[in-house]
Amino acid sequence: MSSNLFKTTVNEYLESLPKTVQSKLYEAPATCLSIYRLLSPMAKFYIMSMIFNEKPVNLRDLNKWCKPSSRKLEYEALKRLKALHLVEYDNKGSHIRLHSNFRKNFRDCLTGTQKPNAFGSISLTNDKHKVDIKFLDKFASQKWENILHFMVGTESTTTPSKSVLSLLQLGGLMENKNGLSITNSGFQFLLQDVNAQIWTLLLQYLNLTQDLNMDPVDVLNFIFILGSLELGKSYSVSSLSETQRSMLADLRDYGLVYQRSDTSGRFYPTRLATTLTSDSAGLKTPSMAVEQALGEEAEETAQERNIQESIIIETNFKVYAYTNSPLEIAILNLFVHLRTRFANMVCGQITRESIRNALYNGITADQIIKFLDSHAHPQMKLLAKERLDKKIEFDTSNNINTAGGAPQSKNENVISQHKLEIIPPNVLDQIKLWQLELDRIQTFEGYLFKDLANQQEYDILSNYASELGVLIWSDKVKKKFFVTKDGMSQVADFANRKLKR
Amino acid sequence: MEAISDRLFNEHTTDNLQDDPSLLTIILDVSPSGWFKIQNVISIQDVVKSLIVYLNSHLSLNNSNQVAFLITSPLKSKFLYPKLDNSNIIKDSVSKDMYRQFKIVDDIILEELNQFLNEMIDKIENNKRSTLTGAISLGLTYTNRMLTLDQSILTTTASAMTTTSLANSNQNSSNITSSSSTSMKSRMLIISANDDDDELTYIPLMNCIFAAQKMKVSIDVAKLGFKNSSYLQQASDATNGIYLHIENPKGLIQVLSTAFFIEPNLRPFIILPANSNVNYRASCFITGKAVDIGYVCSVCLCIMSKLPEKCPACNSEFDKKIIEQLNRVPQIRKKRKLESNGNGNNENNNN
Repeated sequence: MSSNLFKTTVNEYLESLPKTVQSKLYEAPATCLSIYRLLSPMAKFYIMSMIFNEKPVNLRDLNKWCKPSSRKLEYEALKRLKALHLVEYDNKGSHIRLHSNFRKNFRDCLTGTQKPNAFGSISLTNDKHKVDIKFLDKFASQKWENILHFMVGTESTTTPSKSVLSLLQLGGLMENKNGLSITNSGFQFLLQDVNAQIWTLLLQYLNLTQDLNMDPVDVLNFIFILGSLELGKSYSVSSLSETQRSMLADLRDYGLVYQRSDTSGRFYPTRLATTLTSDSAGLKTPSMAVEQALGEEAEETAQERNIQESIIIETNFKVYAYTNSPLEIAILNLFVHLRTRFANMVCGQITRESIRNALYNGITADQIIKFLDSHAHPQMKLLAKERLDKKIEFDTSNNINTAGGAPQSKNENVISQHKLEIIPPNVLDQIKLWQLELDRIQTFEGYLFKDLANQQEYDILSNYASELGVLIWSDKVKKKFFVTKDGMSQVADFANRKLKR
Repeated sequence: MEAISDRLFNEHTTDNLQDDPSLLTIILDVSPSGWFKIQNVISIQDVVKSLIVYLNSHLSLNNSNQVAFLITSPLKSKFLYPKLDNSNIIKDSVSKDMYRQFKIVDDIILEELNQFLNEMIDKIENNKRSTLTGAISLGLTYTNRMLTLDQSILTTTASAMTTTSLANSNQNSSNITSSSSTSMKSRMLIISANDDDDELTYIPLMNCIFAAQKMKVSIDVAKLGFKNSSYLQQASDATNGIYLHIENPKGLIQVLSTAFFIEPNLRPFIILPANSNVNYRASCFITGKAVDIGYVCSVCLCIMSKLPEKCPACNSEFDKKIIEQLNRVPQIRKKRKLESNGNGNNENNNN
């Protein structure tokens, strides 16, 4: 899902770091905590089960936790952990244990025995120019929205600072053709939620730091510490390293921290910063919470809040959006065929062409759906909720489950539940189908297994591969099957082990 | 073509290992008798130490994870965290050496626990029944509030709580957020050292179990002490929870961080620690004692260990002849049981 998109991108970046850098990262407790939070639930469970265990854990014991049907999850979790070097295999490959530094620091973090100031040093003295949370929220949203507005070229926005501009260009979000203009990937960027956007920029920033001879470990540590700071408290600059101090100015430009002046001895993290490492459900919030806080303040900002949730979609694919913000209209224009524009509203139609255009630009159906979902008009959400309540009531009164799936399948612990359908289901399915039209051919890199000795051998290996989720194609009669590139080594190992006997 | 289209449409169901925030409610039973019996093995202090680390690790899973800590004794049940008046929270939150979310929770729990135990020493009386079921209901009501009503769940940090309480006034948003907050999951962990099953009240416990089933809250039980508790076993069995009898609680944290660390969204994919022989004993409606074999009223299904003239629950009169037959002598009863199983107003019921 796109809400977890930022996690994957951040994880991929971390995985791409050399081992020495990763090891250095694990020396900071705050970083350990943040990296832990970015992992998949399965990986978290494995780490937690090993963290208080002094001895290396037998891989076979670990396997026993997993149901055979969820092998894939286990395989992926271990792959991730290995790529991050969080787990180390012993020589024989039968036992694993946690990275020793990570284990120590994370354990200290949980038991509260780490060195002082691991989570930023709070300024204890009172600030003469104290600012409250409301102010910080306003500051953050102003800075951030300004960047977004600049990207779509809203008039009367001030140009962001040079460092922001260079980041936007470097990330390929904007390009310089006699004046800056937004690119396709820039539009994609706009469709993401705030957290993913911030991370996109931060990762670009990290790439940049390597050219500037800044230590990526220092930079990452600071970013992760930011994620664990407390909103509304001020922290002292003096405990930061030289690199981190130079970062402050840049982070201020993105609205992640507030510092009254360059020389001020303290800084305040904003909500954009403190929610960096949290995820989806919490994280519809940074923008929402910011707006909520602002919405209290004045009527006009309350209106602004409504702009965020203003889209009505009918079952006949017509779209109405109560907005006059160029940002929103520009985004809608990506995948809606806009017809008419009024003072406070635009109307349009979702068509096959309009969606295909968006898809050609690299926007996915999921992104579109997510955007529509999160920007739906309150009335649509209310209706959807009413429908859902009715369905549930109907089910309970008739003692059936119309949500799909066999009602008698008791061995499955998850009973299929009704989902909240904000977008009309037919529109939803159609958008997905239009995407399917485009990818009729998919290419995979991988390996073909053939010339297997007998049917039994074929069965064992192909079953194992499909359990891992790496099997792409198989032919029982010809005794051939095809696995992905990643899964090759795993399957080959398994084959060597099994077939020798 | 079919395979491809399936992939797109099923992606969400197969990959639905979402990292949803979850609420963990811990209920610690401090009934003195149970802890006295295992005083040579482990003390409440040691258990609380492990529990606090356990709470921290739960909070470390996800920024928006929540915890609640309840304590129960024969005297009363009480919330230790969240505290009802959060006046001290702000003061406590300034900490130099610990992640502040952990610090707040840990400090409040320790402070309140000490206070509670001190109070208990003065007032404790013997022969009082456990109020564990009361604590479970408290926990469930709190869960319900967090899951469906309260918006503060959506905020990511405790510090944000104050700001969103403002937002309550905004009706529109409250409607919406309440619907989206259903993604929150919840589970409950009971730690008890109480060996005497009869101290638990059976019917309220059953009601709690049904409520928990309906809310899809798993009840996990960590049973210290020497005996299994069949009622708590039933509770975890019925709610797809984990029941473990920990005979050697020295390495409690390891057990907590593995077997009891399975998040609700992971449960479908993991083999839970087996709960093979659950004793489905029920409690007698008249004496309150647990019964293995007893009588069941055919009208209201009330369970009795001896035969009264009238059903104690629904007041329906039993057939006198059959009562006589049943009360006569053991040999006849045995015979009857073999011959017929299914007619007559009252009959032997074998669980």
